[in-house]
Amino acid sequence: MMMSEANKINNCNLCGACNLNCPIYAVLLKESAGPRFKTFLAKKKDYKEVFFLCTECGVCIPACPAKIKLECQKIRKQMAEQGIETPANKTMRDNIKMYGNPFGKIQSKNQKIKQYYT
Amino acid sequence: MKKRLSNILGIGNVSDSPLDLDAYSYCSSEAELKPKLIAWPKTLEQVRKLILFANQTHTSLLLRGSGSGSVDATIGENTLVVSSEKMKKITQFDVENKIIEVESGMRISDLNDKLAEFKLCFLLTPQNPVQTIGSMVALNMATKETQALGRMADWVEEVEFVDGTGKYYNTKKKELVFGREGLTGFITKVKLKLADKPSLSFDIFSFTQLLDLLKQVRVLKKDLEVYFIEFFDKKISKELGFDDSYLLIVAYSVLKGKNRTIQDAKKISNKLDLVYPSLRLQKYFFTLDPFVSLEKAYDLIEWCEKNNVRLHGHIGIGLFYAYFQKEDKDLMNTFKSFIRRINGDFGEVFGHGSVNKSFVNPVKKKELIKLKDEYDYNNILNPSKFIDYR
Repeated sequence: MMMSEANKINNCNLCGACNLNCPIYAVLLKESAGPRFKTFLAKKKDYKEVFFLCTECGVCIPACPAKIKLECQKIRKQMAEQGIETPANKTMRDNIKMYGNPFGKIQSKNQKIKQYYT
Repeated sequence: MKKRLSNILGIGNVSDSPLDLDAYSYCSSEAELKPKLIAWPKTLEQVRKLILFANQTHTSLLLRGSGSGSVDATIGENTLVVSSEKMKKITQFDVENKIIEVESGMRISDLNDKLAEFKLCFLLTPQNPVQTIGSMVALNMATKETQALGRMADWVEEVEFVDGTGKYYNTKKKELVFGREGLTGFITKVKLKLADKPSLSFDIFSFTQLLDLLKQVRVLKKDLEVYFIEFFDKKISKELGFDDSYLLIVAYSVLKGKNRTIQDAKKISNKLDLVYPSLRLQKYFFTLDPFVSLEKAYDLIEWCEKNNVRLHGHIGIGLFYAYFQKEDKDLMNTFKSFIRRINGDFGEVFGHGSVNKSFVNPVKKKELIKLKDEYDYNNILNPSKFIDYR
């Protein structure tokens, strides 16, 4: 992470306002699913699987009094480089390599569809 | 223990995973204390069985709402944390009589969002929107509206709770759980009084002399139409776009303030909402909640000014927020000593928890010990918080 981001994360005092409208927290209803826990870990650069529990919707940012932007996508990228990723992520990458799109083979009942291989 | 608790609460409602233990090791303070187990009860019966189990196994329970406090009240080494996060349903709603019954894990912001479509609201609004109704009862919380409306206890009809021996109560007796910081029982449901959203009007007063400001506050305190009186130090006043002088923003429950249009009210409310975020952006990291008499407010304001501590507060009731930066830890200790010297207190907003135990008033302490003897004699609930019992 860039220095400025690290500084911002260090400004988090764990008030928990970010958990308020988080859609992941709203479903799972446990602290480990919310953005506050991710910030707690990010402060220590302790990147764990919970960083995948984020839709990147950004509702935690306006809710945060210190306007901290938790960049889960960047952290997930770093984790993927270290081999930590979801099966869906892996499939998505394989699909892009194979078919040029993240969804996989494009099929039709009646006609043959040209696949855009990379 | 996890297996036995899973039998009570259901699989998935008990965890000892390292992730969950980490997630419940903090609150809004800098301390970290790792629990040994987390439990999420969903019903009154589960809470009752959980407390009975804790009595049988001599397990301490640490009760937790949203964990937004800053006094280490909801964290503890090797304890069993009982979270009310999964208890957030509305169980009764009488729109006509403006009464709602909610489970204790309901957050104040969620509640008011749900009430908005009925043009109703719960009038006491704490600074942190994630505060749960259960914690507001446990702290008998004061907010800026306390000036006109009283405290949490004044807006609750009934409380359902399970005491430290596993007995269940549905009571109107306020002294059992209000302001007891979870030492006498786990609150499961709260019946709240609601109201229509008030139409407020505002006056803004600036003062160069502190004595003039306090004189004005004394006059305003006698006015029954005053809804709240917010004080801001000179620096915050300037940041809010006013003069470099002490500032009072006064809200009235009737349209007698100079700022009385909807737009005026919105503009002022927005400014009030900006105070905390703007201080947080300036890296004011810690907040303390000194509570002093109006006679001592002069000393408090002067001290904060001399020591470059930002201060704002509900001056009509003597409740303030003092903001400190990360490097001000020694100054915070000096500040606490100063508050003790002027016979002030802490805990009206954040509670006493572990951090402010030394500020507990001896009368309150005696009362609490008596209640503990009756409702939690095995000291299962929140041990070593608020007071040292046995």
